Amino acid sequence: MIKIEDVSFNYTGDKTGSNGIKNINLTINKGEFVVLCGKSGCGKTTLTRVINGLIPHFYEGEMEGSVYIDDANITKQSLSDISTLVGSVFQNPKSQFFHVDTTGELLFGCENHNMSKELMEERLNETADVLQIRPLLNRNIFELSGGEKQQIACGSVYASDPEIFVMDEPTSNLDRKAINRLHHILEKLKSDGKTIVISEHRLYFLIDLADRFIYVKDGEIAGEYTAEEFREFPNEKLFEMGLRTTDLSTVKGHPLEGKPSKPVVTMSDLSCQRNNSTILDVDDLKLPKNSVVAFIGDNGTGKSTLAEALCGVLGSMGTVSIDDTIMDDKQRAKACFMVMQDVNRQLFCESVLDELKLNSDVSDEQELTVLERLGIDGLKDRHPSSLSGGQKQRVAIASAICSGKKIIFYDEPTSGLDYEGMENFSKIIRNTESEVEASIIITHDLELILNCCTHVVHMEKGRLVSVYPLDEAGIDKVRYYFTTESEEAHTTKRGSGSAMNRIIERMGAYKKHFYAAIICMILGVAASIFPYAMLYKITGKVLSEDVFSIRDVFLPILGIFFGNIFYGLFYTKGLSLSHIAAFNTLQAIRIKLKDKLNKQPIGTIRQIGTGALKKIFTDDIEDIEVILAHAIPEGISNLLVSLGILVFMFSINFQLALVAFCAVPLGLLCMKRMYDDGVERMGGYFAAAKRMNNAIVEYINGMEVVKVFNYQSESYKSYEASVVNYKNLSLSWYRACWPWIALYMSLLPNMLLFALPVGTVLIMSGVVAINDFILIICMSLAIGPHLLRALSFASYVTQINYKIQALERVLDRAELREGTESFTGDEQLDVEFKNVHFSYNDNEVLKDVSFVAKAGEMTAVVGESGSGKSTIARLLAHQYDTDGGSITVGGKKITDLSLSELNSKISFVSQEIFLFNRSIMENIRIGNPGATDKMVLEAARKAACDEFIEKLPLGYQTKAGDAGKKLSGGERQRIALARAILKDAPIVILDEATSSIDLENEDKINKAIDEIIKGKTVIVIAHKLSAMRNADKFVLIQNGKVVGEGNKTEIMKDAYFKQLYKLSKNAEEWMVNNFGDIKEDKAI
Amino acid sequence: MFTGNDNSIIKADPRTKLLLLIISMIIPLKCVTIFPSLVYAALLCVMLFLEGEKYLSVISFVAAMIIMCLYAGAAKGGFGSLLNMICMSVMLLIRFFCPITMALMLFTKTTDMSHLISSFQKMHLPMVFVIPFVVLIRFIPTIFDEWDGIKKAMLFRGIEFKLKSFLTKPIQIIEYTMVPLLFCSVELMDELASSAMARGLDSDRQRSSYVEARLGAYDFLVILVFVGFLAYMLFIYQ
Amino acid sequence: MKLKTKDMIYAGAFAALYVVAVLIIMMLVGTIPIIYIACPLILGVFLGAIYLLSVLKVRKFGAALLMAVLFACIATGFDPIAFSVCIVSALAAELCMALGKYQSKKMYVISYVFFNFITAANFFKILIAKDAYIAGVRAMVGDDFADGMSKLVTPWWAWIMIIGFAIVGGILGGLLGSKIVKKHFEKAGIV
Repeated sequence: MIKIEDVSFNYTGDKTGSNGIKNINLTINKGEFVVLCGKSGCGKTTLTRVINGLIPHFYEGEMEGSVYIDDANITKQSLSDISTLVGSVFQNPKSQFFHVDTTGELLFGCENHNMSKELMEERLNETADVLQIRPLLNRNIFELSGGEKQQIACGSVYASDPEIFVMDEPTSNLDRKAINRLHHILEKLKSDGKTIVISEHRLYFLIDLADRFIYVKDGEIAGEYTAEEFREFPNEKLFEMGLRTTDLSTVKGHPLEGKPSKPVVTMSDLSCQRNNSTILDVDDLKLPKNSVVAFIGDNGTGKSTLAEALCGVLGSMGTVSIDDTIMDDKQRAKACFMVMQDVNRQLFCESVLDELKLNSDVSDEQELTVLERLGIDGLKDRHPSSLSGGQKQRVAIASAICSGKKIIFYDEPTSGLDYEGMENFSKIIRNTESEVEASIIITHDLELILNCCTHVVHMEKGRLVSVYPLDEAGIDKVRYYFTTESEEAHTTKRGSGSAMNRIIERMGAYKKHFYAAIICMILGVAASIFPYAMLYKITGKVLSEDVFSIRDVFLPILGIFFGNIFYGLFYTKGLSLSHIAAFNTLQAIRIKLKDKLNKQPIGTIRQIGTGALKKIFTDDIEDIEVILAHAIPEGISNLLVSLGILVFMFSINFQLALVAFCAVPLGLLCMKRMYDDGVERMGGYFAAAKRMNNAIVEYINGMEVVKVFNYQSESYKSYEASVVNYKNLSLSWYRACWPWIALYMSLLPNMLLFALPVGTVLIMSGVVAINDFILIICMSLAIGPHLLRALSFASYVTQINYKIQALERVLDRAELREGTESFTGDEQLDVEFKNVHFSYNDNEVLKDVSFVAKAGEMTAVVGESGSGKSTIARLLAHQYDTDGGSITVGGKKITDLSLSELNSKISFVSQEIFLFNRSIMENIRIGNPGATDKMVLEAARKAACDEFIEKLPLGYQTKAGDAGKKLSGGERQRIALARAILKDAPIVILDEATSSIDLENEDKINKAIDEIIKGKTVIVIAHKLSAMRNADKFVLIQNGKVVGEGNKTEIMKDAYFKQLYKLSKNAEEWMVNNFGDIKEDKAI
Repeated sequence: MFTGNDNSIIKADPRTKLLLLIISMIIPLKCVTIFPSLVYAALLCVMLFLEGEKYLSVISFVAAMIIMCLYAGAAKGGFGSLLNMICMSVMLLIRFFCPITMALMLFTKTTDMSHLISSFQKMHLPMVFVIPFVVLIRFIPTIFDEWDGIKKAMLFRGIEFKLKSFLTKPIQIIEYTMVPLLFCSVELMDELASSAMARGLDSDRQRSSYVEARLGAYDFLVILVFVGFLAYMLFIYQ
Repeated sequence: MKLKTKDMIYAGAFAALYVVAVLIIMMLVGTIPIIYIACPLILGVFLGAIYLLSVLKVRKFGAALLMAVLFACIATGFDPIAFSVCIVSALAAELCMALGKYQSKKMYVISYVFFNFITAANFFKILIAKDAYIAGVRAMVGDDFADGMSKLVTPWWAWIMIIGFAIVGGILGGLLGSKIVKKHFEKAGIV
């Protein structure tokens, strides 16, 4: 039990008296969950400090009154005694840990309380299990995300097992995922019967946990409410009190009106790398003029990286233009400004006025008007650091406006701000619209977004997920994002391997070959040096002895001979080994890539583009061959031996070696210049290549349309543009490289250039023995070509990183969520959609769709085209993952099932049917690879295929042509039906399955369908209402929402349905034929 | 620094590594010829290898070999010319720092903080040293982080942190770097101190330790080898 | 007055700040190696503010000493010579502050002049260790070389230059630091 008796406190040196508290009387019972809320600076943080003893033991000031915990007066106890009773978690995740490793940090409190080792072991295990943070043990704290750090902070307190937990704004720096985790932890603590006191601005996540809300105002308790009372408060009342909302779903937004304006910031192919991995990869993004754009997404998904890359303070590749001029990093840094989360970092001067004058030439009047507009003109002579957080922020904004910045970024500007602060901030954003062309806000604050933003950019894993304006639909979408729980996932321990290591890792069993290749090549190169050593021997003999016999020369000549032979042998052996390793690695990579691709959502594959994928599968992987078979082994061996010889030369004679060597640094310098140029251009170059590839593939795929509609000029334009762009980029790259290439190619091999003249002088002056001189000459002759060869591979070394990353980027996209469960066989395979949301990139197609398709019944999904009917079918076939909600089959989530298990239960006949260029027999057999010919024929007959197949020249053995081009749409659909009949799966999805079938066959096919769907769970999607005449249940979809459902009788009453089927051309006829009975029913 | 690694074969006690560091300072003073220096470097590399820094150990051994070869070359060249003298002096200096650098790497890269604190406590170093030392190590990355942010902020404001601007207007540059750096750090320090003390850190109290540093047989073996080597060197070059 | 736990944390954190600042400046200066020799001067000027803020925040015996010891641990690689240089200069600085009863601004500035010698500790190490090393070289290679070397590596003026740099850096840094502290930190109410 906590008892606070008449406590007042004022911080020393605080003249204004804000943050202080007055005459607080409060009793908190054991096991109670109390939330302290109030405006910023109202004293709620001070109140938490009174409870955990930091006041009066850490913060200095005048204190009156006393605080009791279980009848002990803690104002008289030492902090370390209090800490056994009260555990504290603070606001800033980065400054509240003491150790650098997580395990040490978790046990920090225990060690301070002098626990025994065994007890600590026990506490550690319990903490890890109860708070589910085992994956975080033994990690470096600096690699954790903010949310994980906060978990560790909670864990550290939990481990030392206090009765009372005091938390001071623990979520102010956290994203939605981390708040979820904290919520779980709090839930756990509450159920353990701990007393919890939490001071917080964000109230919505506490509303289901808290027992009591205490409203603090101006240092006094202004109200106490139970959770029920508090929940009833409307938002208006809360805002009046200066509090944030208690329910995110009730926050209102102002839908955007007006036409889209032209973009002010345009970027294409922006990418960014850190520690050998790509952390940002944005293809294309445009920010409209006078917009306020919110960047949303979990922490660590690259929002800040994107912002910093746009501002030009973080090195990046790609092009960014502002106001239609392409700008480099420096120009962008001049045009942009970022208000950082920690504003302290960007205040340099001693007064607010000086701050505005720094490096800008505004007059005093202008300054004052800006300050007045931002409402801080009264503070102009204060020191910026003595201001409150919100005021500092405004000083930074003012400084940006004064120095004429066009685009301002805000990094989480409202973290830890109350409602008033947030409201003020939105006002400022609106007020600065005249000077600022675009404001970009990185935020986790839904209220802020709905208050002042016009567009939303959603990021995940360094990529854009969607970009949308905040119109009606946009508001729903962004609200949905913030109100759903995201999945639990911990960051994993970072792999620290370089690109080289990672590529070698991929070799698997062929690593041995690879290393053997390197060794062979080293031996080979060393053998090639040997003849030169022998040459030295011979010349040495010639110079030292007057007469020499053949015998003296014989051995060295033999040496030369064998040296060359060994060189050839070893080098060839090495090459063959390296090729074995390389090609096997390529094979492994291709297989891995294919497996990976299988698990990707179809959307992702479309997004990457067939051209880009083809380039990755063929060209990019092929490029790795050069790297693996030549660049790495040959480069390493040539370089190593050359270096060895160089060292040897230095140990023979320092001066001569230095002279001989001096051409190398010069050559290397040229080379470095070349690569610096290259690295800069490489991103653009590869991006252009990728775009050209996609354009070519599109051009060829669309050839038919192009020809028919004489679309030549238009389509050729984009094709030509990409080709020209590619040409220009490659040429400019080469142009920049050529002079350097020429220079180093001529410099590097000429090691003799300097050695010969200087050496002669040295010999003449007697400093150097002639023997040494000859040796040096021989050796430099020997290593010249090897050095050159080694360095010629240097260009590949710079590319390795890029290539590997291109591959890994394909691999690291989010896979379809897949589980391992399977069906036992006797489930009722009901299909249920529950609150399903889904969007293709920017537009949300399904909004909260829920319905049940009972086993053994036929459920028809009806709606206009584009209403999301086909999407439902695709989601059920698990071609995509949902954004939210769940789809269950037989009571099991499809994300928990393995893809193959799900596929075995579903026959999916879609509108687009792909036939492989094999015999029609084989194409039908795809439905059930184990089927005999007879079964195939039977299925074909049922699907009314046999008649047209028999007319084909080779019957069932006719090839279907490229993608089934030889067959008409209706014929292909019939084959698809035959496949489904053959597969005989318990769930059948018919997505416009009869759309292309002509009238005369329709009856037959309908009969066939009737037969195959008997006793199955069927979901029919069709325009033709005739296709669903037997449906047991109708689900009516409009704009991605279920607007009505029920059986025939019920659905017929629905106005929208009536309207729909009036539109249907055959409606009348159909009604007479099939709905006659309904009318009769009604009549009865 | 002091983050340790997971792939060590055998872990020596931090105290042993400290001893090696001290021995490595005496060795280059006493042992001038090439062969023993190489042997010593090899010993250190073996230690590095066993402690899990495999790449580093190979690279540092190759580097040591190269340095010794170059040194031999420089020493051979006679002492006449100035060029030679300079070469020789540079090589001497590099050689002098070679074992110290290796021993430092061994100490800082393969020791983790918990072991270090525990061994400090075993050595009965006062808390007045241990606490600040831990804070020092923990705070260095944080400050680098702050500095990164400040550099970016300076870019936005058109303040360049470059040698040129430092030479032309040093006072301004010092002010513009130190002021935000100090303000940020002071705030972080306050938060760190309050959180540590709220969790019971108190220099006057007995603290227990989860990880216990212990001198094992391996440590004694290592100490024996290195001290033996030192003694032998002292005996030869006395 | 004994250092409290809080003071120890401050001491460690300021030492970290000091070490990082040294690294940053060395990186800046490192582009032109010749300037290395002027490190005590450059570092001295830069780091005055950090030192002064740290001792002003603690105002007890031990703040400067701890900072010096921690700096020595990181920057000198536990070298005994450099270590003792650090400790001696820090003790001198502590003495200065004690003479000013931890109140006098002037004594704080003067104490920094002594404290700044720790930036020259590594140079002293080379200068001192060189004698021992030359003795070794003399035994091995011969007198000629040893004499030549000692002349070349450390002429007598190296001592004077480094000490001069350290003192000038200390004075400038102390003055500049106290100006910054007064202008910013006293105004913002931190010290």
